[in-house]
Amino acid sequence: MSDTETKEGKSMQEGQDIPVKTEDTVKEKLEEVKENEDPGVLKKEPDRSVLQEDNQNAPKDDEPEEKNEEVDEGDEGNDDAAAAADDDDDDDDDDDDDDDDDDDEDDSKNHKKRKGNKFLDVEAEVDEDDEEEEDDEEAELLKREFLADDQTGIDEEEGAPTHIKLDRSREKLDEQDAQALADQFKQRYGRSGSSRYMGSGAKVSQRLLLPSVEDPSIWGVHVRTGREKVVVKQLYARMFNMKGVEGVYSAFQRDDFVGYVYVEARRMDAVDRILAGIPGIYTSTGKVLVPIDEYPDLLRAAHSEDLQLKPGSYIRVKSGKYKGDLGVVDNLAENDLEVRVKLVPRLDYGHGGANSGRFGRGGYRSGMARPPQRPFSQLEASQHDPEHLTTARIDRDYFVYRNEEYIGGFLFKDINISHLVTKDVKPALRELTLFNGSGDTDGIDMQNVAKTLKKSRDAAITFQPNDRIIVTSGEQTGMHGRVISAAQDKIVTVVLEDKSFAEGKQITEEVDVPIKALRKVFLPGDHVSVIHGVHSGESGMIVQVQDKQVTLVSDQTGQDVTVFPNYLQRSSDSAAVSTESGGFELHQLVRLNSEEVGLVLKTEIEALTVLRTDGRVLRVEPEQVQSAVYVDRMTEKATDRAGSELKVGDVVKEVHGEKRQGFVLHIYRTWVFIKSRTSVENTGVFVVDSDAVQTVSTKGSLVSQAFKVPDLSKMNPNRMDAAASASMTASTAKMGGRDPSLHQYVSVRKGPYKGKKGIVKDANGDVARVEMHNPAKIIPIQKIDLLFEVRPGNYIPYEQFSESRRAGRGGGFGGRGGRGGFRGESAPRGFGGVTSRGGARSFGGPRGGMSPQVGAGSVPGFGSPAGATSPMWSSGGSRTPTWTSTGGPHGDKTPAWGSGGKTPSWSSGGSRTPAWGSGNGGSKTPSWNGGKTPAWSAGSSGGSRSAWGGKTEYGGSGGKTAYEGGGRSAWQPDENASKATNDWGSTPAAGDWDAPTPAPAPKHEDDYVPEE
Amino acid sequence: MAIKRTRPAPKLNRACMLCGVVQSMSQFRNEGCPNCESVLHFTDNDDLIRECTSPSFEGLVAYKGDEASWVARWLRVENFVPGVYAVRVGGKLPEDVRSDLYSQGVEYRPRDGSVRD
Repeated sequence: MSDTETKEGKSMQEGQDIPVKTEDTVKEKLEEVKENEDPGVLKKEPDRSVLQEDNQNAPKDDEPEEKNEEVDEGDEGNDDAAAAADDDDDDDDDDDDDDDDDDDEDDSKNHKKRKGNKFLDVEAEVDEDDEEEEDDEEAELLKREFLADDQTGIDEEEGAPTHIKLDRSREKLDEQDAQALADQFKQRYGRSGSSRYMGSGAKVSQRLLLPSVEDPSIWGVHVRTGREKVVVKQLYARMFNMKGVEGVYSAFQRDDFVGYVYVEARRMDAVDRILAGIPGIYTSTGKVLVPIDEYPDLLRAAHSEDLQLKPGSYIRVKSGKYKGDLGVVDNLAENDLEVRVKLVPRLDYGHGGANSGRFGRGGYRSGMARPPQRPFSQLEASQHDPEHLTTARIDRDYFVYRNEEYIGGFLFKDINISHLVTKDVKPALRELTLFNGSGDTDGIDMQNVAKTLKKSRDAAITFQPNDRIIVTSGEQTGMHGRVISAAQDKIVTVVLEDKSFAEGKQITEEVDVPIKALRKVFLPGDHVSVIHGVHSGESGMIVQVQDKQVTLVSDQTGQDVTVFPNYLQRSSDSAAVSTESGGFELHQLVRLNSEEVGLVLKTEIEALTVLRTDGRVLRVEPEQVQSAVYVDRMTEKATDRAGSELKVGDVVKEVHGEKRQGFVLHIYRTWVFIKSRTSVENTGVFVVDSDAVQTVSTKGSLVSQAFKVPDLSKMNPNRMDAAASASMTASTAKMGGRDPSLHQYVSVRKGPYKGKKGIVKDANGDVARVEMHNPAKIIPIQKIDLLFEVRPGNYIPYEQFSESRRAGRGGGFGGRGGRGGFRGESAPRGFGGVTSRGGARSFGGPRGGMSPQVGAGSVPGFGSPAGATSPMWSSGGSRTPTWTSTGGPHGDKTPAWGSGGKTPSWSSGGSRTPAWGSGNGGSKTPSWNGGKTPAWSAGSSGGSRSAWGGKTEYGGSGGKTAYEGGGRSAWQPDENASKATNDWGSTPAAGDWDAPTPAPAPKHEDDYVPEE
Repeated sequence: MAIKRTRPAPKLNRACMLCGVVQSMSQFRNEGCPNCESVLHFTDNDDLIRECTSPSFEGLVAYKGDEASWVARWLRVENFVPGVYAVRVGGKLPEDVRSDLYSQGVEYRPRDGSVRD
């Protein structure tokens, strides 16, 4: 319509204005261009009758103008007050002309302006009314007629033909429907801006708009990625503010052409000028002149696949609580911008506690566990959160809960299309079953699914020769056949079997069919494997074939699996069991809830079999697993029944019950997951408490029964209950310590090394590692095969040696046993002194339960020779654990060992005692407690050296008393071992050491005295 | 010659579904659509702006207002004021607006790429 008006108006104005034509070169140029183009571009039949047009044209010349002027006045108020009113009028008139017809000329402008002035008063009145009652059509109509009359007067003066036309048009007007008139007037009057709507020829086919060589060129300019829109805006600003860029008509950008901005211009230098200095433009790469035939591609509006949403299409939600969830389009808003989507609700019905309010706000904070997808339950909502359940029309299963609509258990939500993924949405069958599950609908719309999945399916489906197929589309629809070859990518050659013919004279023909027109055909009983989709990798036997779906029993899970036939491939072998499901691996520790963990026994496509710590086995979905338990191998430790450390990989054995044996897979707190090779139940995995197993071997090496690491469980006070402490004496006997055979001179009495001599370098349980003198190497030999040299040339068998050692335990401090005593060796095989450790601890003074052990009978023998020449080490009171010295300080410079009768300390009576009193003088100092530390060695204090180091004899005259030797052997074994051995080697019999008496009799002292 | 044109706004976030001009919401609210205000009365009518302008559009075109521009002709904006236009405007005008336009003799051609000829 606008076009016809345009032409009409133009002709009329030209007729009027030719004599008065003035020069406005720019305008003329414009007009020429317009005239040149108009015939080619805008060819249209007038919509309405000529009369009507005339009628419309008649007021058009005036009234829009009047209206415009009125508006202009209004604009002036808004505009800069400094602007001259006349200039404004002129400019606005120009604008109006441009907008209206684009071919007005100056004279017409003047003419109009004159008219405008002429009717200024009237117009002002009318226009005000107009504004107030713009919507009042009747008023408009009245005004229209009034003005039209006015106008008629003018026209009548101009010529008779117009007059006749107007007469007719007036008749016509009367006949016209008032409503239509009103509409027309509204259209004309309704505009509030200075321009009226000038929609370009919408009916012109785009083909007629195709570019020609007459059109400006388009240059592509390389710009920095992401700056395209900014550059376009900058160019837009420059088009008006810059000189010398008149040749530039437009600039544009497309999201599909990243890094390019296109400039439409006649001349290249204008492009250069307008681009100069704009940041983000790569001038060095130059401009690309776009070929004319590619122009339409640059500006094609349609990438319409993203706009093809229809009710029933599948979408995914991009953000929010339902992020990633599948939805079905229920309806589209009229403007295609909002979509009503059907979703499976994720509701917790207020169980989220403080967080439950988040649904009211519609927000969803990431990181918060969101409720699983479940159909809306009116019951739960009314039970747990009734205040938010506002509307309920139960008859239609319609609820409003927290301002969201739920129909039939599903959430119906209006979501902006920009928040939806609409392309390439591939619903998983599991998701579809959710929609299917509680639905009021008749199940999965397989047709729709198939359509949605077509793309992805095409890519993954492969046809193999001999596959049975049915043609699903095209001429041969419904024909069955067999694949001959699938040499090409998407086309297979098939042999069609026309079943309408009898079996005997079957006609077969070979045709090429695109694979999307084919569907595989399977029969119940076929063994197939799934080659695509979520069940990909599974195999099984087909139990049911429906039209477009096949149900098979999976070999792996034993479950029914329903898939599309084209996802299947005939196969004879069953697929391997997957070792991963939902990100969880076989034999992985997973957290089931805040308390429970479990070990993954079996992974399936959508299920995990988990062994819980209580021994129960359950199947869970991967979604139900909270998280994997990431355990550090270094911290994944426990103690077994015997208290030794238990690590992953150790071989353990049940103590009770079936005495199953296996290696440790995982340890969680005190539960040990063990994999047995012999057990078949739960693929051999069972879980027991760490107290119920015994280590058979640690990773890599056998666990010796004799050699034990310290009982870790006993070290932990929390694990030491009353019973344990009661039996601690016994258990402490097992306490590890230094092996007595260490550093002994030995002779081998058995085996290939029989007769060879050596030194025990290391001892571990029954085995001693002996460094042979010849050959000089270290050989592990059973201790039982060794002879121990108790004194030079004098060997005793191991049994005797160990016996003597055990006896030596009871011996005095000065004796060899002292070493054992202080070392606290465990020697389970018989060095079992009564209180080896106790002996050591006794030095610490009475400390809790320890001292009683010491006091109980076997005072570790400080009972030393009480000879006059010797300092009195003997414990006068045999029961006191202390170093009770019966005498005072012995000798001037001899440090005295604690004279205070009952003090547990080493406080010395001697005033000059250098060290013992001072260094460790705290009477209750536990520092002496270090049973394993050679604290007595010289280093600790000067006095100690004199006392124990052997350089100063006790008792002065004693010379090399037994203490010296004893001291050495006991405290400095490494250095003086040989010497000590020598010293002690002369000990006649081990029996001597056996003396259970706490305080050795003085006569023994002789034995201690070296021969010299 | 002062040419009326739309101001390039910092936030060009809505496109008119009828003419394709890109403006900010507040521009539509305060000044209306520079082309379509006579048929769609956007000014101070937020609901109408929301219905008839679209936040999803693509392809920014700076049009100088010169009808020699083939780009403008191809996009059918050559009669419109100079401004920034969108090549594709998502969404369609609501049915009532469409019928209203029709009665005003304005032919509506959706700019969402759904019309082909």
